[in-house]
Parts: sequence; C-alpha cells; structure tokens
Amino acid sequence: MKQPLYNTGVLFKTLIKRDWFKLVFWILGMLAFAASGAGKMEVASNPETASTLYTMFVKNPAMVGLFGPTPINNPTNYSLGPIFGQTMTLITGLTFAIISIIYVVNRSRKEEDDGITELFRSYSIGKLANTTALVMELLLLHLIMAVLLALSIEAQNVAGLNHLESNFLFAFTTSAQGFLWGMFALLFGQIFSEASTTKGMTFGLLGLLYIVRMLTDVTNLSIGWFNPLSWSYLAFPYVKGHENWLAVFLTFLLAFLLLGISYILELKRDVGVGYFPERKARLHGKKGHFGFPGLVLNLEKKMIIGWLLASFVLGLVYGSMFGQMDQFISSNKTVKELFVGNETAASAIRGNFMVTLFSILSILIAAFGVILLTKMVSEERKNRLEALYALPLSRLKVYSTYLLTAILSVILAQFLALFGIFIEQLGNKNALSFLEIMKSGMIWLVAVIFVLAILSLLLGLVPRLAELIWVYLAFLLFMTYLGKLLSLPKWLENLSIYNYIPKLPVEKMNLPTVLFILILSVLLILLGFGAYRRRDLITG
Amino acid sequence: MDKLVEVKGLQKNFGQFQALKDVSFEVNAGEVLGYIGPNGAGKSTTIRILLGIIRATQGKVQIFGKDVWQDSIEIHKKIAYVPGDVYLWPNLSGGETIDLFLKLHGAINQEKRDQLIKKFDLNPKKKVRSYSKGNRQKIALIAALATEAELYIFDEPTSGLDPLMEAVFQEEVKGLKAAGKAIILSSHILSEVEKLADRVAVIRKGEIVETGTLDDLRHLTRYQYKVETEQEAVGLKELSSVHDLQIKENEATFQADSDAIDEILKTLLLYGVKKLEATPPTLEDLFMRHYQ
Repeated sequence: MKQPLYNTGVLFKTLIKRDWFKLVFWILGMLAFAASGAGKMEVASNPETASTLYTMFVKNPAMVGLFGPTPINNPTNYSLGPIFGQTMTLITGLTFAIISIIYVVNRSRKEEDDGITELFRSYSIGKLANTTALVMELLLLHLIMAVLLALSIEAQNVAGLNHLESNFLFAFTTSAQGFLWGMFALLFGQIFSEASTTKGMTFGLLGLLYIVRMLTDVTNLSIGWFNPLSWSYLAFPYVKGHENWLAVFLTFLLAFLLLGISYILELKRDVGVGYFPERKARLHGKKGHFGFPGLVLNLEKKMIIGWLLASFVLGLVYGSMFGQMDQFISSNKTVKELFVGNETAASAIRGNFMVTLFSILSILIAAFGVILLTKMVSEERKNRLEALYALPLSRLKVYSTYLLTAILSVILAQFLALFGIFIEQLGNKNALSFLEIMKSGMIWLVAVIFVLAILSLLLGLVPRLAELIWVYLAFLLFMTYLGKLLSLPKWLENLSIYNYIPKLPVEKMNLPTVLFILILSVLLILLGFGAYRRRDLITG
Repeated sequence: MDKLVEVKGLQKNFGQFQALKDVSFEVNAGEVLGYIGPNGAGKSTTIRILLGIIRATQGKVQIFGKDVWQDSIEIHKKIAYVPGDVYLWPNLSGGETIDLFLKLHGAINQEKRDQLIKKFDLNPKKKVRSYSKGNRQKIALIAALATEAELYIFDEPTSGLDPLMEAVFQEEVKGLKAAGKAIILSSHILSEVEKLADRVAVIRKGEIVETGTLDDLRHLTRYQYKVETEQEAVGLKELSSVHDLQIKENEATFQADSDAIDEILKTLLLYGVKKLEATPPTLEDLFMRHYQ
C-alpha cells in the first residue's frame, strides 16, 4: 500500500513509447480538421448571408438542438467568430471526448482484462502508477493540443478568428472536455469489471447528457450549467462580452474530482474486479444461443440493444424539435420574408432540417454498423476464430453472419430513430406522415450500406487497415455537418457518398443512382468475400 | 492401415519469412503421431494449415484424402482440435462454451460431456474470464474429447494441466487410440510424447529432421554405457565407435554406436568387467542432437 506512485515515471515513458505514433496522428488530424474548418468558413459567411444563417441556426430551435446555442440575439452580430463558436464548439468537444474515452479504457480497464496490469503489479510498481502515468499523458496531450489548436487557428489570420484569447478559450474549452471524459472513463473502469461495459456506460452517460442539453438549450439555457457537457459551449468563445473561462475551470475541477474518486476506488479494490456485481453464469447454453449466428448475437446483444434503444430515444428527442420548429416558423417574420408564402417557407425549412438531421443520424448509425462488422476481425485477432474454424464452419457463414447482423442492425436502428421522430411529432399541427418520414430517412441507409460494403472489402483484403474506415466516416460527418457552410473543392465533395444520395424531400428521388450505389455495394461485398475466403486468418 | 493424414513437401511463407521449408509426414488410423520441436519451429503453423485456417504456399496436404483448404468443411466434420493457447469468450460460462463447440460440430453427447467434466474436475458454472489457463485448456479438451471424430489434433494440450489431469488426458488418448482413431499430438514436452506416441516427427526451423517410430529413432542415437572394470579400460580410447569417453580410474562412461557393440565388448573383457550399465537414449538426447 505504501508508495502508490512508485515508478510512475518509467510507466509514463513506456506509455509514450507505445503510443507516440497514435498521439502524433491524433494531434495532426485534429489540427487539419480545425484548420480546414476555420479558413474556409470565411467564404461562406458574409453580411448578406449572415441574416439567413442567423435565422437558420440561432432562431431555429431544431438546429440549436443539433449544433448548440449561442448568446447572440442580433443578426448583425452573427459574424464568422460566433458562427464558428456555435457550430464547432460542441462537436469538437464531443470528438475529443469520444477519442479520450476509447483511449483511456483501452489503456486502463482493457489492460486489466488482458492481464497486463497483473504483470505490471508483479514488478516494483505502485498501485496507482499506471493510472497516474495515463492521466499525466492525457493531461499533457490535451494541453499541447489546446495550445497548438489555438495557435493554428490564429495563424490562419481569418477576420473574426484572429483574437488570441478567443482562440485559446475555444481550444481549452474543447480540450477540457477530452480530459474530463477521460476521467469519467477512468472512474467507470473502477466500478465495472470489463472494458466493453465501461465504454458502454461512459458513452451512455455522454449520450444522456447530450440529449438533456438538447432539451435544456431550447427551453432554458442556464440549466446547462448543471450539465458538464454544456460547459463546452457555455464558455461562448468568440462572442464578445459573453466569453467565460469559468466553464473551463469547472470542467478541470470536475475532472480532478473524478480522478480523486477513482484513485480511492482503485486503491481499495483487487486487480481484475470491479464494484459492480457480475451476473450469474449459465450452466449450459440456452437453446437460442446455439449455432454461429446465435453466438454472434449472444456476444453482441448488449451493444446492439444499447444502440437500438439509444437510436429510438434520440429519435424521440429530435422529434420534439419538429414541434419547436413549427412554432418558430409560424411566429417568425424573417422566415416569412425569406421565402414566398407561409406554406413553402415551412416546408422548405422543414425539408432542409430533415435532410441535415436524417443524414447525420445515419452517420451515427453507420458507426454502429462499422463497430459490429469490425468485430469479425477483432474476434479473429483475439484468436477466438481459430478454435471455431476447426469446426465444420465455413468462411461464408462467418462473413455473411457478421455482414447480415450489421446490415439488419443498422436498418433497424435507423427505423427506430425515425419511428421515434414520427411518434413524437404526431401531435403537431402539421405532423408529417409515417411514409414521409420513412422515405426521406430510410434513403440514407443506401449510403450506410455502401460504407459497410467498403469495410467488408477492407476486412477481406487488408484486415490490418480496416480501421481506415473511421477516417472515411469522420470525413463523411465533416462533410455532412459543415460541407454546406464551407466552400470546398468539388472533388472533395465528390468523395463523399452522401453527396450522391437524393436528399428527400427537398430533391426528387433518383432511382438509377440509388440502384447503382446498391449494385456497387453488392460487388464490393462479393469482392471482399472472395478475398476473405482466400486469405490466411490472422494468427497469434 | 488407412492413411488419414498425408503431408508432402509442405511449405509456408509469411511474406519473406519461410516458416515451413519442407514438411512431410503421415498419420494412420489407430496411431498417435508425436509432433515435436522447440518453440517457433513451425508446429502450430503446420497444424493451422491442416485446419485450413492458413493456406499452404506449396505442397500436398490432405486429410481423409481431401484437400485441407478446399474441403475444410467436410474434413472438419470428422476432426476435433485443441489449440495451444485457448482463447475463449470471457462472457460465456465454461458450460456454455463447451455446448457451443459441440453444437457447432453437430449433436451434443450429453453423457460423454458430463462424464468428462467430472473426470477433469471442471466447474462449468463460472464465466470464462475467471478461469485459469489450465481450466480454459480443460474446456477445450472436454469439448474436443466429447466430439465424435476420426482425427484428433492436440497442440500442446497439457501445458497448463497439473500431473493428475495430465494422467486423465493420457488415459483418454489411449482410449481413442484403442478405438482406432488417429491422433496428432504436438508438444515440446518430451515425456508426454514418449508415453503416448507410436511414431514421432521432429521439426526444427521449419523442416522435418526425423520421422519414424520411437524405436527407429533410438537406433539413430547411441546408448549410454557405464562400466566398472578391474583395470583402467584404456583400450577404449583406441576405438572410433566410442564417443564422449570419460575414464575415472576403474570407471568409464561413454556412448557407443549401436552397430559396434561386439567390438566394444571384446575390448572391455580384457580389463575384467565388474559391472555394466546401458541406458537407452531419452528423447531429450535425440532432441539435443538435432539442436546442437
């Protein structure tokens, strides 16, 4: 029990040695992301469009729900700085948080699951040394990232984004979220005795706070001060007179509080266990758990149910935005002036919102599909497929089981999200019909299936590079989220599959294109299978 | 005898690295083949090729007269396998895991399963996560042994088991042999192979360096002699068939070529033999000869 920090330095060095490539890659990626966003936005934002943007993003509660709020209450002040501050802060903070959660769990709870921690402890290494080394690394990473991020925005010298203090506020309020959520993951890792549960619970809390903030943002902004996730944008970077370092301070304060609690919990527990009781194990397999598809479903059921539930809840929440939007359209003069006639204005704004909402929703759901399908190779890497392949089990069965599970799951998830939206907005005056929502929402599944098809090709051909799909997914999110605001080169837009999907209900259905994408997807899947059947399994 | 497994001129490259250079052996029904070699010699690679998990770069590899890559499903219906390192799903219980393997193979023989669980003294109600290495190995062994198969492949099956459980395993393998099954037993634990194997194939750096029955291989090596004479047996120094000779007054130890016993005995008699001990080479000696 004495010297719980003994040899932290050695572990810190080891950690950096192990992960320096990941860290550098992550920092560079983040800088590229921020750089491309800030510079290009200049083109999109000029005084003429400012008032339209103001109506679309500030006054429209649905968009606020999606992007986050701003304290600006006058279109003339809605210049590049505040636009950047409103649209980028929450999403950047979320991105930091997600990466941080995954990294921390993989380097803490997962190492315990894998037995590495046990090995470490057998050396003269303090009980808290590994955790401390990890926290030091995480803190250092986020500080470096914050400084580089602020300086890189500053260096682009874009009018409205060239105030150093604002840039630092933006960089620190977003990086602080990364550190905070790393600490949440650390704490949950003490409570739950398994990496996947820890990740699930931390992401669950993140999702919950995101949904809560959506509701409070459009009703009463100040309630957000009780929500740690809201602290990201409550710093209000780039909004003169509203900039607030208190939010950053609170974030770090909470992070260190969580760290303290998880220290105490870790000191008091054994390696390899948690505080949460495990469910009793079954003596024999249940009937439904047999066969290979049964095994896959059994192994992934928690995650699948979690995602389906989350999709439905997200649908309900977004559905409530439609009501808010209706009110806003009928009460807002600018909207009426912007578009000819009340009816067209309503349907145009609503249509655009549907396109943005459904496409972003489908990218989230694509991430779900990617995680599920990638399990095929992660099981292989853990050498668990080796024993199975010694049984009369064909590669076609394994490949098709994972692929079908992923495709059916994303279809179901997208359906549930849309269904949630449908139920929630039923009571509205101009409620959309079931078919209207399904048509404009389900069309995005074509893109999701295409993403899964690319992934299946990667898994068959170059399984070690399959993680690259996340880069493409991040690119898709970036293009969908900000593509319209920025003026990006045409070829870049053409790389996004979302660019080709007919944007119902604003655009007309384009059956040939849709069919072409689907046929292409089937071809990619077949090619992937051909490669998978021919290649060696990854063996340890 | 039925030739169940036939490997001929097998090669496997991983990129530039040649893991298997030249591997050939056969296994017949009712026979245990000991597949021995040090760590990294290519034992598991060979077995993975036999299982169609990785693909041979060159050579003929057949089980039941069928190609192991093309017809893997047909072949796997009649084989059972225990991997060297047993990786299982931490969330399932031991019992669930055994049932899963058996079910994927076909029918579950409940009686046989429960009998084996008892014999191996496994508590199937715990989650795999909390099992030790030995217990995880037991799960794989129980699942394989409860399977009705023609060929059983064990990759270092007892490395995590205690001596008691090792004895249970050996008993089971003898039972399989008596029932006319073919068995491949890969190991670097020589005593294990010695107790069970009819024939052995020795692999070293991706090449089979010896095959044959244990007796065959022993002919290749020299017996160890220890002799006590009335006078110092200096005459042994003259013989080319005597190796590693050490003379300590009236005691001499040496190794002798097996075809020169007559000559050696004649020489020894001149010095008045009081005591003569001859020990056959252990597999260890055989092993060492190839690794030096």
